[in-house]
Amino acid sequence: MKTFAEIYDSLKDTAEYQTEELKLAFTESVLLRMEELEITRAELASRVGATKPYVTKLLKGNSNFTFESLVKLAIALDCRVDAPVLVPITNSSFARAIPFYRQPKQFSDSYRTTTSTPMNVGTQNYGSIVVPSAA
Amino acid sequence: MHLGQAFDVFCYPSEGEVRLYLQSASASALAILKMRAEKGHGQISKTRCHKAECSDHIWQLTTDDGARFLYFQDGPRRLVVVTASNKVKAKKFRIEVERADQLRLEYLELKKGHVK
Repeated sequence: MKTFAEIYDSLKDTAEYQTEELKLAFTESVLLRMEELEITRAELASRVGATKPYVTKLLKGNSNFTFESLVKLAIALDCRVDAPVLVPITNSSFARAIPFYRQPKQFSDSYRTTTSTPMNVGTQNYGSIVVPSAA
Repeated sequence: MHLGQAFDVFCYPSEGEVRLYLQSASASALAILKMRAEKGHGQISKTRCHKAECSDHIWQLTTDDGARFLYFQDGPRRLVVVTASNKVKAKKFRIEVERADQLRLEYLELKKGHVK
């Protein structure tokens, strides 16, 4: 039976996985910003001049985003989109293994990710979207 | 929780459904599990990560295509995933949450025995 690390390693460089990761990162940043501003999908839809089902569809990542739709969503949430850039693939910092165990003696085996999220000074960073500071 | 904090993720029990599920999991299910491992509760939207109803300890992680992970936090850095499934009806899901609670107790008992 494959470990999670093996499953992840076999998928991480595929277009399907990378697309999902991008969609998730963007839609999460939108959902978090909506929660912060306490606005509903209907309100967001009205701000971008679209229908609520359209916004729901976008947030579920069911449709391919256009740059225009990304920017429109960001502007409606008083944000801007941080430019997507290409990053050369290096040895992933993600999981080497998720241990699957029955006995607690294996507690020391761990799967760990280490991330560092650089924060832009004067901005609130939600990942894909950035809110300019008020000052 | 603060930015950059990472979590250790375990699946319990070792040969259980979580491991089986992950073998055929969608890319979005894997992506959200990875995201949760990298971020705290407050950094993931409540739409996708929230405490499961009818439980004080079990958290629910969901994807838009219906994957659901039930997990609990053991200490500040350890997440333990106990069940994984596709979307099911509310009644069946409540049973899953109850089972997740039982697995949590079993896990804690095993841990306690190991520590002694």
